[in-house]
Amino acid sequence: MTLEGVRVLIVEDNFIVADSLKSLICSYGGTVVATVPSVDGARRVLASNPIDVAILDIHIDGGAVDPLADQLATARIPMIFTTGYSDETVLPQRLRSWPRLEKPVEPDRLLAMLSAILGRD
Amino acid sequence: MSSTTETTTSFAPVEAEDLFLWERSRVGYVVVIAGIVVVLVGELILRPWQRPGINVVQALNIAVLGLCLLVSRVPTHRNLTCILGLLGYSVTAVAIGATGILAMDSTSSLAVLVGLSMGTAVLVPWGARYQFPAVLVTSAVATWTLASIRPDSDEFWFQPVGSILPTFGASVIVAYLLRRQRLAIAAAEHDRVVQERDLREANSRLEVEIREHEKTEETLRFALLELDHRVKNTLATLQSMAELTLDTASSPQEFIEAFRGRIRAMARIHSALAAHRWAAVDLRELIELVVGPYRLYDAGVSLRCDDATLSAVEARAVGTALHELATNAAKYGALSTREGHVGITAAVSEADEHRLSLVWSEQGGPKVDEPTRRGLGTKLIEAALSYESGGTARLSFDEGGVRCEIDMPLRVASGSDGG
Repeated sequence: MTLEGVRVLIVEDNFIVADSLKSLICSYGGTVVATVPSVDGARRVLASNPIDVAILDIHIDGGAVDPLADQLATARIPMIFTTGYSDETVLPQRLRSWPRLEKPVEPDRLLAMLSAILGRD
Repeated sequence: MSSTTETTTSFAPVEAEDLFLWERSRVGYVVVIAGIVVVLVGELILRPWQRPGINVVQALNIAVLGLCLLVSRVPTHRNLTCILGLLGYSVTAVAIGATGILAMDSTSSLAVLVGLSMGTAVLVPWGARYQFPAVLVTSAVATWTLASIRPDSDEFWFQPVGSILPTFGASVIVAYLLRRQRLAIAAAEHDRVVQERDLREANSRLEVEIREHEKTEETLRFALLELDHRVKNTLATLQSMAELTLDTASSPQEFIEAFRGRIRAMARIHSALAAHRWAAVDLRELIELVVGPYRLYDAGVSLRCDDATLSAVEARAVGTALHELATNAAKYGALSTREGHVGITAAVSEADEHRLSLVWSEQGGPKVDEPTRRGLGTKLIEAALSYESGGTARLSFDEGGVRCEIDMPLRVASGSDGG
């Protein structure tokens, strides 16, 4: 089970967390297109780079990630949410069908979720 | 006393006791007016112009009515008592007149009895202090009226006096009892109103308390949710920090040393944030908290710092960079010897946007070389600060020691931790 050839966008405002996620994806053979700390940064990346999947922190730098998630959903790009909240109501109803991963992220679960969402079982 | 005010009209009094007098006076008006009409009509039909004294009494009655109506426009307690006294007199007078129409004989004394009883017991519900003079006046008028009706009789004094005195005694007792009962009722009503008001006040106080309690509970629930969030984020950061530290450590000893130091730095930054409820951190306080523990001698570190507050995210970026600089200096740089010195200057420019420019400058320490491999410390200074704050951190390795120049935009502290 590898992520060979999978292009990943990581949206996470904590550098250390973003960087270790990046190492994790890379160690599974995936390609991290970019790690970005903000919605604006993610939009700039999306404008010029094709991606296969996005890992989104629900609360980045005090703001909600909903508009970006809606944009990804429209573009049919799968996504996984990461969050420090145990309460699922922090996400709007329309986005709750996407997989959610509680922090601290468990590498095996992240890999399983990525595989499932990309249809690579 | 809401029940009283609801029933009052424009000129009516407000107090319960006065309202009672007011209502009694209206009964008096009706009785007197009816009496005047009966006497006038009766006299005109049966004995036209035979007894001018009666007509004088009638005129006096009408004047009394007018006076009462005039006085009642100012419905004070004193005025209402006067009105009832005057009406009591008039009732007596018309009762005598009405009986006198039909008979010129001893039935007049019955009329006095009836009139006085009505006037005092029904209309005048006050104490003996007022009633005594009122009845005296009434008796005098009644006597005079009887004398004018029966000027030929020798016994006319005995009849009114004989009938008035028992009536006087009885009516005073009745009036006293009535008044006591009425006062008791008024007091009970007053107590009830006061109790009701107290109960309502207690109730509304309780409602306010319940609302406050609910608000506190909601705040607490929210705070717990936030705490949960922050703890998980901190754990996530720790996990990532462990992974990254492990990647760059060459031995378990090195790993645990570096990891421990970074946990301590996180704890110190957390303290600075928690002290201000995660809203904003004072820059000087942050620098002293993070760098202070690495200072071996007081002269080892000098700080020149403008007043500035950082948001939680900015504090984390600056604090992490400062920790990496300080721990490195304590191990290899200017903070590892007595001769070494670190100068920190932090200036905030407010020209276009708020920008922080912080310079860390080591001097007098052991000679440093540019490292061949850029470790995690370097990454946490340069990459992390630029990633999280949108600014830049430039490390240089001069002859005299490490130098780091940080330049970053400052936002208005938003109080949010993000992540």
